[in-house]
Amino acid sequence: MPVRIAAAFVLLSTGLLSANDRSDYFEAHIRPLLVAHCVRCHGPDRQESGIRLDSRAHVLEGTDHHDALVDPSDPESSRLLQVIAWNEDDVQMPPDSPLPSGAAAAFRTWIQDGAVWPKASEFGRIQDARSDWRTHWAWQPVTRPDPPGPGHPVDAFIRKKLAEHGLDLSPRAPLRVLVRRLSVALTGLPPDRDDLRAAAQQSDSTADAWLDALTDRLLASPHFGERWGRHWLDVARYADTKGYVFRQDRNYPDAWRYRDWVIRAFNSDMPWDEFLTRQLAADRFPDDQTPEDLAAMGFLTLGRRFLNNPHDIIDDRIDVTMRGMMGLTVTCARCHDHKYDPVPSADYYSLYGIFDSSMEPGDAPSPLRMVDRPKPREPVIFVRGSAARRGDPVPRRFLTAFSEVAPEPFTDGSGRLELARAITSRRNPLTARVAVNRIWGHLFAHPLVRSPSDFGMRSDPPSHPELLDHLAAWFMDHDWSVKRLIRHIVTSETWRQSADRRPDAETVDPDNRLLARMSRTRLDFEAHRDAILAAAGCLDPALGGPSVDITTRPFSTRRTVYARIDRQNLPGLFRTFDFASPDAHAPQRYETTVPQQALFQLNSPFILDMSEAAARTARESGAGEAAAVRQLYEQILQRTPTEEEQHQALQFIRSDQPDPAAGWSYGCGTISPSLKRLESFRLLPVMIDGAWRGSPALPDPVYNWSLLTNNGGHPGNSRSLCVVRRWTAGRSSRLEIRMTLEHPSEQGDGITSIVLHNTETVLDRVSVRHAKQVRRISRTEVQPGDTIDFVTFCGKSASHDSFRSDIHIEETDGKRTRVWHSVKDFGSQNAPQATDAWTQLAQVLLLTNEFVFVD
Amino acid sequence: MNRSGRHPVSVPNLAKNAPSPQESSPVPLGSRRDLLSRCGMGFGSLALATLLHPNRAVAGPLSPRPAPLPSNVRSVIHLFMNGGPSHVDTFDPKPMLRRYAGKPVPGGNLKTERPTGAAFPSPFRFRRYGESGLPVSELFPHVARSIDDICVIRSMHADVPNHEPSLLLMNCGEARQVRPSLGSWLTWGLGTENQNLPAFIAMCPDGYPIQESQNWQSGFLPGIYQGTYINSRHTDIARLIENIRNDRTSPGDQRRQLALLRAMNARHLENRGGDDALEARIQSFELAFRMQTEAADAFDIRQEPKHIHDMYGTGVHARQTLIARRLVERGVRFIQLWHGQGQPWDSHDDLEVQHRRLAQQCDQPIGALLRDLKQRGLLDSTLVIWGGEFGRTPAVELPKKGSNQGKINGRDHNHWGFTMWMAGGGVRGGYAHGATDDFGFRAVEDKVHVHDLHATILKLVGFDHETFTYRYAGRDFRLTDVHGRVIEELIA
Repeated sequence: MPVRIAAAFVLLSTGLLSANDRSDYFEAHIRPLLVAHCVRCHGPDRQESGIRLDSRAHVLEGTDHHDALVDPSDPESSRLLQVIAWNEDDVQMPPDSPLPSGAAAAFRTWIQDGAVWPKASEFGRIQDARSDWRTHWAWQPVTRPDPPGPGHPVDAFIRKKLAEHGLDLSPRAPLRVLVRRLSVALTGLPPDRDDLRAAAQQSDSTADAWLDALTDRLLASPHFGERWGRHWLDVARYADTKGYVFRQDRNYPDAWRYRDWVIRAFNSDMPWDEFLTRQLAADRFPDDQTPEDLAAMGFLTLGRRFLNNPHDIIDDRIDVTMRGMMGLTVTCARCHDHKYDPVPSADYYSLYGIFDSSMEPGDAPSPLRMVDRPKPREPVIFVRGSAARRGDPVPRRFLTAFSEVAPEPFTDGSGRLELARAITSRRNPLTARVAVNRIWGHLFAHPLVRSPSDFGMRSDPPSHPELLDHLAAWFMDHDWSVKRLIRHIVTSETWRQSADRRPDAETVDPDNRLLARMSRTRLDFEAHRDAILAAAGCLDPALGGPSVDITTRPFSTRRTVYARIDRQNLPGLFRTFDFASPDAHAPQRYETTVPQQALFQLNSPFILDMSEAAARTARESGAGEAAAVRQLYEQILQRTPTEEEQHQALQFIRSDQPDPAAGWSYGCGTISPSLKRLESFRLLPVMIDGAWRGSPALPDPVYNWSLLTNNGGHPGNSRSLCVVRRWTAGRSSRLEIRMTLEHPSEQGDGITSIVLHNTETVLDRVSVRHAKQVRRISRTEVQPGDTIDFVTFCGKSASHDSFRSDIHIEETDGKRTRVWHSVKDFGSQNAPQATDAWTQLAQVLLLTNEFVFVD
Repeated sequence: MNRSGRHPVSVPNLAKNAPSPQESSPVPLGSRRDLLSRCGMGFGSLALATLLHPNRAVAGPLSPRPAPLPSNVRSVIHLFMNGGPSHVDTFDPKPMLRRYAGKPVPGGNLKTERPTGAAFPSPFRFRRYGESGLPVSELFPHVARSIDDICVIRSMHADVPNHEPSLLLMNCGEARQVRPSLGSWLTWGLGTENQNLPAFIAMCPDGYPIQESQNWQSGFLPGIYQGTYINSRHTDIARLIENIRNDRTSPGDQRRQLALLRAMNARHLENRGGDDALEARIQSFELAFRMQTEAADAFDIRQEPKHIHDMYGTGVHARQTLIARRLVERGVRFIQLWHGQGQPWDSHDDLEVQHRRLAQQCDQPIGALLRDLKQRGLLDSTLVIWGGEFGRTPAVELPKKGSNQGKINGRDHNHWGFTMWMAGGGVRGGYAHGATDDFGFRAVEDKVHVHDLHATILKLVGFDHETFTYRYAGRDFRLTDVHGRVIEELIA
């Protein structure tokens, strides 16, 4: 359920702030000022000069004692603005010191915009906020609303709302589209080719049963857990490292055990209440104490370490628990009573006491374990969040606003198990709603409640409140089974409808919140990378195990859920593709569209390797070009090309005219002591006066005398500064090589040249001194991307080591013969042509919107 | 202000009269019609799109947006002297130290990270410069030439004498928890002028400073607002920006690929009757293709004439500083230049030698940058910020096991009082604000906390730090949290 940013429409003709924005403005800027600076003397307890600034009526309308304090028709005449201006000849409020900078401007803006004071906010003391919360939708007990019509309950609720706007669902999407939609949603993988074939053979009468059976098969697939487990890992701010720890080891070498536990839990359809309970208190399931079971507590123990500051570590644990499981933002209450939700500071420290009474005794078999301290710690309030200012003691207990769920202080050890029981109590109005809302969001791109980790007073109400309650109740009534809930939703016509545009609905519902059609979604980072691996025929379907680095070559072919996640220095690849930040609990992924994503897809070694792999399979199928194009379409887009597409693709292949200089590149490197292997290769950075070299300076501080020109060059002064003229193969072919090498100087100790295939196979070796030699190398078989390196280095001395060389490579693949000539091909582009037209075509298909979006 | 009409979290909805992104973008994104015709689509679908969304245009998350308050600032360069340069040896002369040389500082030493001893007079001579006559030590003669454009803040103070929390405080306004950095806030708030380059670039030669990429983190803001790290030691563009170059496909072939891709995507789009997300992705490939040339160009300082090279000097600092100017010219929003990997300015001992070496590396490039920006008319629109995460003690650091190696010729960290300066971008030049005590230990007059500096920087760039907020985890977060006040005296 991504938050889409790139394609955001910006209203150009915005007028005044909307009513919502204006009450937001009051909440964000005005009320905090009033609460912080005014209501102590002008509020419920004291009314200096008969004035109350916690009262809408007092401020906007005035009383018997005074006129209205603000005047939107003439803002500057507002008494409120005058007194806070702190003019010398007037009353100065507040009396001790002026309001912070910006406050006056905020009041002025608010008054100019009509002094909107939302009715619900008619209070001055924070505690009073809680008198309102009892009516907030999210705290109400979950009800079981009757579906307002026949058929699938989900459809009935959705249709009812649509009908209010004169709309109805779209027709069902074609079966082939549904197969892909289902496969991606349930397993994060492209559909199986056999399933697509079977789909094509269904008739109207068999389609439903077949689709239901496919749904069951996908739910039973072990890849289901990989997909849905990853959704939860966003919530759990999963990472394989601790964050910044200065010089300590920053790895969590066993983090993957928690990740695998989550995947297994989804695959075994562990009931949600148990799933949550075990993550908080797996140590309290006496029959399940294997290391695998205890890994569940990685939920708590795998957060950022904050240089081992215990208060911050506990804060992170409270946050991930309360936002992740209950959609409550309680960490504001670390420093003061929550401004909007019924969470006083005392509640925060009640929870603090639970985690402070727990400790990590992680050992070899169970590194992620947490247990209770032998003696629980009694929490006190830290005044303004400062551990140095200890305030009143508080009991370890659940949130006081939910006293009907768990009224008594916790007595069982730290209270973690009791906390878990309270969170998963059927009387808890939030937990089931939060869970089904997340699941709905993953299936429909938009959750019913827009802020999936904040169901508090300031959250928007659900788009379909009755549907949310129906799902929450249904979920609990069906043993908190995630698989059954997903099945319940994806078998609705709402989920199965077409994603085609609905012009009739776009004016009333541009965001498609009413669901008159299915939302088109973009593959997220994991599904995208997995789909590329699958299209290339490289995907490794193995389950579980230690995390793997996916950013360096040779590229791992494991599913992306197994990627090592470095919390501290998250590689650009992850950030570029909107991966959930592992710094803290991530409610939703953003969805951005930026050119860095396109750069990765155009240029990264990963995409090029995968395109090559995909092309190789098609090319090696042995059939003709037309058949190979069809094969490539099948492999990547899982369909046959249209005639027009087939034509365009063939044209693309046939019009390929390789750039003559593209096979060559110019660098320097290190030859191994045995003189049999090129240990390193880097491109010479600049071309100046017809020579590739380190810089204008000769010798260059790094590259020394290394030079390569059209007809020769000069090596650097050591084995690690050989000059290397590299030729890279663009296709499978056989080579005949002729090389002329000359050391023209009459002085110096000469040079040596070695010819290497793929840096490791010596094809030839020759030393020349004051002489010229002609060498021939016959019948070298190469694959696309193979390299032939012509490595030249000095003897003991690098003096007088200028050399001349002239290399012919005759490249034959049975059909075509092409001659490469080092002197003629020499150019200023250091850009070897390693991709051939087939690879390029495969890459184009991988880059299409069709590949990346799911209808 | 963090809600756009369409999406729960989006770019800030800042201005009531925001101009169209097409009007304000100096880099033409291509009008809708251009795009559609390039895609080979007929006028029919264009008309359809226009009918459906009158008065709307596609805007990206990095599209430029005006600040809500008036400001000339288009770019910010933060010169980060990581490790903590000594203020009493650079911009805050303390003659009393000489009088008390070797004697205890009257009033005693403040507690810093390590034990400190007697007053340690600066080994460097100060001179007055410019019409303002502000004193600058011999360490920064090139910077001193621009002193009349510089606003020296001598009364900075922070919270603790340790690198990690102080770095985070200076960059993100919070010492421990994960919060967005200043550069991330600004790129979220303003977008960037040049869509072909990263909006926020952090350059550091040879590796990371301590606390690493948290210094330019985006925190709870979307990842695209995080700083792009560049190791400025490299000269090859391919090593400077990820995936900027394709070493296996020639540009000609890539053009052919993009033509085919465009045709396929246009057909796909047409079959679906248009879709903003599909269109945005189509555009991103066109942008990326242009970025390949533009980025290479921006980082290629060989294109600069000799007199400019002479002005900036040689070495990695000259290079990264000159690149910064080229990036500013191209509309990059926020550029942070770190002095070096680790904490180079952390002269616990051999202060005279170390500070002289460090200043020699960066003085000429920074001085050149200020004059170069000015001669190009860019200084008014570029806010330059110089300083470390804190300063250093005026008292000598005493040897301690494991540190200082028995030399007694360095200074400890000092968060009680230190100096930063700003130039350009509407700051008050030739002005020294506030003061430390007679010895330079503690800020005493017109104190400026790091939060106040942030509030002032935001004001200079066009934001009220109290209303520039982002809703996250149920709270409206600010760079300055609940602190900070704008120091109006710093503003021209």
